[in-house]
Amino acid sequence: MKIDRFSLNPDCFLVKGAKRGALYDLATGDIHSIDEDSVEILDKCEKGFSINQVAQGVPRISTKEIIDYFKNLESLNLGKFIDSRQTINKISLSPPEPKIDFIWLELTQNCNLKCLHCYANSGSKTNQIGKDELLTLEQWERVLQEAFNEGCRKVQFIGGEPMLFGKDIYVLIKLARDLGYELVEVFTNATLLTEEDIGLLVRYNVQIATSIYSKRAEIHDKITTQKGSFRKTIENVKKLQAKGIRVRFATIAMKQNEKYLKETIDFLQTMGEINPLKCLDVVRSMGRGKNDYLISKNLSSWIQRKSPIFPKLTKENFIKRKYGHGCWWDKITVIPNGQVIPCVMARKEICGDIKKQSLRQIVRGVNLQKLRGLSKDNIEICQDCEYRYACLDCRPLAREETGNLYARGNNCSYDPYLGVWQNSKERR
Amino acid sequence: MLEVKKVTYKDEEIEEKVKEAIDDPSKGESIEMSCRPITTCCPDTGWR
Repeated sequence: MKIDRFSLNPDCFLVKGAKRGALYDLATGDIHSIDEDSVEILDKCEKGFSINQVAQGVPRISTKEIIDYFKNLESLNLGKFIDSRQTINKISLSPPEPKIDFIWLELTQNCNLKCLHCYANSGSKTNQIGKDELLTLEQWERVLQEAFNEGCRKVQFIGGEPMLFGKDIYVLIKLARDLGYELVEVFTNATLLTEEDIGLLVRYNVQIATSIYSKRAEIHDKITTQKGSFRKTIENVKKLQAKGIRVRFATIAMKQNEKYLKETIDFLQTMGEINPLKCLDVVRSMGRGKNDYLISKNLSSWIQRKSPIFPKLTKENFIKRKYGHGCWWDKITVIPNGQVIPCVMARKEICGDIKKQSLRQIVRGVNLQKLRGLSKDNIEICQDCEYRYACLDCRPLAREETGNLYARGNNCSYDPYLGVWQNSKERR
Repeated sequence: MLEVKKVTYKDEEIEEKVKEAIDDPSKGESIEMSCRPITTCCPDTGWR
């Protein structure tokens, strides 16, 4: 037996960019950046070339250097030396079946607050959808049932302010529980909750999500444009927590609260078990969030990706992002008139109508499948980037920024054609 | 020189970097680390 080849492990994948490449190790979730010579060498290895053939193909690099490199990769457990008769079968990466993992039910676009940055343009006088166009309670019930039949076990009721849907929200919550949904969450500003509401939320074991923009009432109220909203939200959150209800917090950074962001996050950490990495977002340029007065120079800099820093990647997420869109792949939203969109932010991507089709037809329909299949392989510039399966982006935001659903968003400074991060001029 | 450089970090390490960026915005560090694009409306965001 002659050891004359090198192969990446069955669960280690070479992803080529226009200039550089990356090794995705799905066993550990780690991603490794590699230079263009390494890409060429490993590409030949993956095609079954022997070490000698590889070395002949890249005469500018010595055989010793190539072998030392392979030893380094072996020490990192990314590949191994093998003999010419051995076959390394890569693990299967078949695309998963269409499904719904999570559904947003946007019960109303009315809201008692009118936050400066609302992506949905919600407020008390929005009148975006006529009364006769709204889904009936029976139609909402059908949506819940059909989503459950499609395998969905997580539902969030959202708005506008979902409590303005009226007491019928509890008909839907009870149905979700009776059907067997495992997660039932209401995203509410919590200002309208009565003792009766709190009792019902406890009875049905509902999880609450709410947004708090500052620990300072005057800042929070300035953003919600409703004096006293901070006091009401905090009071009701405390009542919910006292009854054992789990409350999840979110905060959105904008010019009006950016100076106080650190104290806001510290404050939220005293209110509950939050992760500052995951509860924070920066205002997105959609709906009323488009207003220039919400974004400062600091915030623009904060959201600019300037270096390759990625969380570990599971095999499941690699597959999702290889075959489709990281967020949209298994989520769906129904808005008050029955239109179906892939997520709450994607207001323009209408892919079906509950009044005319079953949810099953919509989930399997061309419109949603096309959006769900929007992997980075379809996105301009990103398709030439080696990090395209590591990276998530917000497609609705990119569309708002560029007018093109297939364009790269404005927040990435990597040039995959040069292999350089434009801000740092660092090659990685 | 043939390169291989890890670009993935544990959640705690990324959390630390985000905190640093928030603590001192003047440093111009990014909080955009491939996690932010998920909206806070998603039920799997926010929890520790």
